[in-house]
Amino acid sequence: MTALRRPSPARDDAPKAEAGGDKGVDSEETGQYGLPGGPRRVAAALLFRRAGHQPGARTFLARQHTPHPFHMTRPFHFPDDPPGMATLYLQSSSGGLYGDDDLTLDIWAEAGAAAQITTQASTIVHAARGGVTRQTVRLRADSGALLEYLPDPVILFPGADIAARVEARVAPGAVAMLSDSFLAHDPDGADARFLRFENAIVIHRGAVVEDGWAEDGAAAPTLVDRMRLAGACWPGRGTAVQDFRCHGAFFLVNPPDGARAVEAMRAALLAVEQSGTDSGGTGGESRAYSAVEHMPGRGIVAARFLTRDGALLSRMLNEVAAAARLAVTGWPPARRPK
Amino acid sequence: MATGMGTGTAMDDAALYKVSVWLSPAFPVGGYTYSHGLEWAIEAGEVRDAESLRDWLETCLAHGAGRSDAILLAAAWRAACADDRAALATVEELAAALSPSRERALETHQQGQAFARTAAAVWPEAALDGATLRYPVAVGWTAGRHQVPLRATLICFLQAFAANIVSAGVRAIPLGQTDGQRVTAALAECAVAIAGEAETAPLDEIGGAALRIDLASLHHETQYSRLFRS
Repeated sequence: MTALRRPSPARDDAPKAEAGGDKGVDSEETGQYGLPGGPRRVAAALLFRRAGHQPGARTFLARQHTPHPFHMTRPFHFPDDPPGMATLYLQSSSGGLYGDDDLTLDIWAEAGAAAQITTQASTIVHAARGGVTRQTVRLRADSGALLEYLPDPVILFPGADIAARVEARVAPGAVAMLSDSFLAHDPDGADARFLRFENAIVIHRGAVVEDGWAEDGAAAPTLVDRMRLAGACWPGRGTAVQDFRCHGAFFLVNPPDGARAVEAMRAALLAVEQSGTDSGGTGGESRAYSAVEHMPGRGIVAARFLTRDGALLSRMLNEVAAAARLAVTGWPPARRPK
Repeated sequence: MATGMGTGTAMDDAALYKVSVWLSPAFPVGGYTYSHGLEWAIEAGEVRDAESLRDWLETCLAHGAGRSDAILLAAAWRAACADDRAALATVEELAAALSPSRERALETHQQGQAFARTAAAVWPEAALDGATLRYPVAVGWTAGRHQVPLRATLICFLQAFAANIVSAGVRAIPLGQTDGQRVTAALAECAVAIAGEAETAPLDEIGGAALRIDLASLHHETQYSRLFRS
């Protein structure tokens, strides 16, 4: 089973993973933690296809290339989801991300397919120990597809140094949702910090060329969101207020009715924000800040939030995604066990 | 006649005059109508005096649009010196895509158009016909075509960026004029450091984390009573 064809070099500094065969790790250099041997480059790929052309036809996994440390469940079809929609859980068989990991995951929803890709739990980014952890996810949604990429928050442990990227190519008539979130945590409680967090979200809207991920010279990015954060600055005045240690973003691309979607998403986040207000000693101080905006010229509804704790962050991610799904499809998301 | 600028970089007096004109509050780009989300932060009580205004602006410069725009300006300047229209297009595409909100997109787009229009009318010899350029890209391209040194352009640009937001703060908080000038003066070291970094930083190094400021920009759109367009 062959992997999807590789792209020509992207326009900016996307970390690259080399194309792999079917057997697993691609590079002969399997060093970890900055030891001689180089980064561990691994590429995975998923292709979702609709069985037949009738509306509601079941989406299935037509191609899968998932070498270690990638691990996936089989696709599920929840009865309360839009008809035919497949859900797949990403897992890690290595317990998280490490220095010198260079992982790429390509996810492609062909025309008319409907798929949600989520995670079993948060991804822990461990201390890099002299290396740099790289993770790249490339999403492609062809015309009529619904593609949801909704991972749990990334948790940055002390010493983590990660460059992450999510790139989405969304064709006319396709709808995509993607979430991106992180929080920092020191399990020893010593206030040790992560080193660096670089995170890029790049969204292209427009025609997608036929041959895999080949660069479409006419498709300038619609939205580029780049975060560069040193652990010493997090949380800090301006970057985040006081102890709002958790950040999330959610993007809805090509909603059929953006105005309706933004109102639904805004109401959902406001409800969480208001329910998250501290009572008693803190005098009703909010535990979250959020905002939603419709950018009609770009065909994007964007939501951003800051929270004081990871539980509230996850709740905001879930609620905003649910509101977006309902606004776009008329179907609320089925409850997904994790 | 060359004039030393204290950094060892000689600068033509005519170039100094031009960059001072372009980035003066009197240059008609409508900068006074934009607060970069500050108006919401004042409404929310997060910026309420000179000290908090300075904090806000330092974050803008170091972690937000100040640094990002400076790198974009430098890239456009280099494209201008090489007369490389393809490179300019790349910079402009990225500048357009980087705006985190509709109001911030408006802010950079409208100011860029106004700048390019006036610069082309007054100095037609270096105009770029028919192009839509975001504000830092327009300034960088124009400075490059007029051979204004990059470092000076960056420092003046960042000074103007900060001073414009200070002006918004003076009006909206409100602050006294002298306190406003103290805030602007206090940002000199930060602005100069960012200019130095942006001079050589590639486009790949654009990125920041002015998260509260980005949120403020989103909130400003639905703020009940507004003086500013952003």
